[in-house]
Amino acid sequence: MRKAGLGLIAGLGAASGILSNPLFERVSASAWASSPKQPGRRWGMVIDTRRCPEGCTTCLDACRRSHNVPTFSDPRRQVEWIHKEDGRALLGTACATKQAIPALCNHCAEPSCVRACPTDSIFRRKDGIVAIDYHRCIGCRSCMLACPYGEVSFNWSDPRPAIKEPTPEYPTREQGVVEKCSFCSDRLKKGLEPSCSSQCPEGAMTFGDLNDPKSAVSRLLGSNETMRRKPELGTEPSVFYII
Amino acid sequence: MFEKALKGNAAYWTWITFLAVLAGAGIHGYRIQSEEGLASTGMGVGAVWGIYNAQLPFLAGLAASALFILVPERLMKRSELSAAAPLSAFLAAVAAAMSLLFIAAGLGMPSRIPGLFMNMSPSAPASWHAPALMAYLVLSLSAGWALLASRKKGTTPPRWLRAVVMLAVPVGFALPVIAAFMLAVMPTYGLWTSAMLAPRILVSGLAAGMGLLMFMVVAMRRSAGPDEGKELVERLAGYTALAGLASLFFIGLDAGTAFLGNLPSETYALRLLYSDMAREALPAAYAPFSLLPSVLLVAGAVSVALLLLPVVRRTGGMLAAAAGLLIAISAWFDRGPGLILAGQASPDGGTVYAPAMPDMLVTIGIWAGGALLLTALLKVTISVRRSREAL
Repeated sequence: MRKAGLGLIAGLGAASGILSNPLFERVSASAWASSPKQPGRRWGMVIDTRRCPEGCTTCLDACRRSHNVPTFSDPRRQVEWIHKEDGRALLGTACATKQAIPALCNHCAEPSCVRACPTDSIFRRKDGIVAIDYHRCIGCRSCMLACPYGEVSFNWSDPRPAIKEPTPEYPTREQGVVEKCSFCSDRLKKGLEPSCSSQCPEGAMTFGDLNDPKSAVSRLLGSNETMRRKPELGTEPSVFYII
Repeated sequence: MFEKALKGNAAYWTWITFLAVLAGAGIHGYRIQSEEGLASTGMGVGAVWGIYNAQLPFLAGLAASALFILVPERLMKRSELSAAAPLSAFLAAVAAAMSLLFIAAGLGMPSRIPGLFMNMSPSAPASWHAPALMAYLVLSLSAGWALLASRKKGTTPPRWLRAVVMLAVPVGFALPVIAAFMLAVMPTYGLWTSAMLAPRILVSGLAAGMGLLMFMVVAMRRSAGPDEGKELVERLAGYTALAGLASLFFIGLDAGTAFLGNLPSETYALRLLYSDMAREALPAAYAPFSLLPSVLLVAGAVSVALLLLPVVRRTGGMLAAAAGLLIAISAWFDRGPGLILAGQASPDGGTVYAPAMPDMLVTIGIWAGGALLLTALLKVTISVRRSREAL
């Protein structure tokens, strides 16, 4: 209800012309979920590991640019929404490739990060996106430990000086909050695809509605052998890998 | 009544000053941390929770231990425990207050602390932690204070105190359960997803609480005269020994399950604690501490064995008090740093947490603050006792 109220205020601001292009995404109160497996749209991604070239970082760079993700050199302070990791480490020995493939938030249907968050700052939307309210996060880092994939990052220090190419298109975060991939929900509402999949030169990343049998992701899932990360944990990831 | 804490001899004020200096160092550490962010601490990717969160399970168990004195004393008319009742209530209050401080110290966004109470997410166990601690702090502090006030006046404690204790029962028992369940939502850490976690926190907290209480009662008898019988110390020593024995049994059960099942995450954490591995995994400066877990485990076990001897319990002197203190320290490591820091280490490699200067200072500062509060409350208790004797 609080969020719906904030959305309304932002909406009024937009209507009155004060914020012609509001940075904050507006979401209706019905946009977050009661039950994960209900019908409707469920965003997902299929990554073709065979088409992902070694050494290419186009998706990583696009993500960093479009969301003001800071770049820290110290590996212990890293903030990443998407990164590349050895395929075997990511998916286990059944994965044919040992080269690095992209890994991002899985937007699980049963997200353990959401169960861990004491303030409801990380929540699952009706469309399957697991989103973070940066203005509500208290920085306790429970979600980081709960995520079995290590896809939540924390701003150990002020991220703003570490943003290499700042963009006014998306808000920056502050020291002391967590952040992670949002499936580019800000771009989705403009009718655009996520920046990583839209900029992949090899077309290795396909984004779409998992619940729509005619969508590109559903067709790929039907015609290929796919894997998900740590399926044994029952988190039901929405990111699939063709091996 | 509190003015009694402001009168004391030179030794008392030296001790207070010492603790205040340490607490001041903690404030200094916190200033560094809030300026530079949590990047200034030893925490980071691979060691997301550090020494702050490492205190929480132990303190939850310690806080809950007061129920094992307050419930029989208030609700079952076991008057032989009366002398220990205000002390145990104060110990619980200090543990709850320290827990709240440690939670606050570990947050990236301390300005949003009200969110912990206003934006609760009932399905998340962690969400109940701070509210339960706050409620328990109020309940235990008011119980201890009311008990002491009635002692001072020589009247029977008020009847509403029974309601306070009854209310404290569900809240107090919830503390170890919340502390365990907020770790249980983290599926990849074997040490944290055991159903034994809540009972282990409760039982080792009980051993620690009774051990500390015994230590305090023996110390008070030495400073304020032996007005309470030896039976109290003997009884507390018995509780400590039994809880310690149960705790050791539970440690064995968890370790047995881990090694018989060859569970990778659990066995890794246990090897890290109790074998040579820590020496290599820890930063060089901390290498001398790699034996600490084993030493504390053995010290705890020996102390439990000592307290199982009837002669030690009956004598109830410094030997029993020292055993109680050692059991408390051993339980602190077992359900504190041993659980959170070693439990977080990954078999796939990566960094093992070691505190940096700010988090070390803040931790020492909060412990000193807790000791300061406990000292003041003990001082009031002793003064009340002395003024009763003077009558």
